[in-house]
Amino acid sequence: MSDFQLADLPVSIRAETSLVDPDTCKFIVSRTLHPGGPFFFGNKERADGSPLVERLFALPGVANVLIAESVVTICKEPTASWSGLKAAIGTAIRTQLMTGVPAILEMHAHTGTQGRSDAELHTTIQELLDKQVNKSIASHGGKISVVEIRQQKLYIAMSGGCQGCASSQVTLRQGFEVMLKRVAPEIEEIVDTTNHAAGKQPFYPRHESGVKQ
Amino acid sequence: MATQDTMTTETVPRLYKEARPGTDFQNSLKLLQRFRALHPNIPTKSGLMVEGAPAWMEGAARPAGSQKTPIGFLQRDPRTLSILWEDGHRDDFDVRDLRLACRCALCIEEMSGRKLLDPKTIRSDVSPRPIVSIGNYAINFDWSDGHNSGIYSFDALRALGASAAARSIENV
Repeated sequence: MSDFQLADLPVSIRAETSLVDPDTCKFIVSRTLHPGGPFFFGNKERADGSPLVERLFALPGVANVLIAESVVTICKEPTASWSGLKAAIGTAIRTQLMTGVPAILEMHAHTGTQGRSDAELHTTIQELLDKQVNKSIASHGGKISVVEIRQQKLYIAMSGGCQGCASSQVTLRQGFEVMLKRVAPEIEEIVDTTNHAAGKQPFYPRHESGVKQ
Repeated sequence: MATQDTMTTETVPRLYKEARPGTDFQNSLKLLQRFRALHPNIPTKSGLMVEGAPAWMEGAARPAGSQKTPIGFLQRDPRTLSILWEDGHRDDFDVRDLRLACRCALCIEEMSGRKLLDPKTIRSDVSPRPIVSIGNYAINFDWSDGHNSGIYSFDALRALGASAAARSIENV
């Protein structure tokens, strides 16, 4: 199982409040969240399609977000309180790392209003998978492939480390779906066609009499 | 990591021995060059920020050393600048905190000491471009927001570091 070490390592997050500005707190994570940058998000609208940033702006009181490799700097509204917020931010960061998908969507969002054909959608979605998603989840040993697109439904298969992994649904719903909505808003539903219990060695083998979680 | 998005190597020849012991600056440059030739589509970057600032000299630290003499500047992560003092103490500063702590006449009213700089006006991605030493008592930052009139005396930096002990740090 040495291929999956990265996903298994515990994540530590240190929250340091600014010396000078009480509304700013820096979160130093033991893992890189997004290479390159820094990426600055001055408001909620700019966060669209970036799974981590959307999740952070969903928390009440978050005013702006900066992501620089392994550091997240959050500026809160002056009226909001840090108590509870810091822990919620920590949870958001951990959830992001669990999804394995990129924290930030660098591909252009689709803004056109005219309908695209299934073939055009397929090309766009394949590009999202090739350029961003699969590169990133490959570090967890996983992969997502398009099976088909039919009547605004996207059928996908998860393979490699994703198949049978307890976190695969987090990857799919909290990560991939957020990014997909941005580049292909026409898709109404993602259907996971993977048989997570099949195969010689799914990520977590099923035991009939195993402990229920 | 199974994939590589960028190829990076940092620091300057003078700091190389401290920052990356066992390696060679010229070799790293050659590696970048070769990597660039092999994969022209993957960005190669080399970023650094210390210019004219003292080198990171862990070996020069001694308990009896001066509390007001820095013997090293190091960018610990993209948002943290560490200063090593001669007495062996290390301060880790958030780079935006340093921008906010500017004591120039535009940021602090000269006579009253009243703060003129509103933290809200400084974006969180502000960062120092070159750091320049001023005589043997201070440093100056050329900030990415265009501000560069602040003189950060070593006394003031050490005091800022001391106040940092009171800030809240927790694991979340």
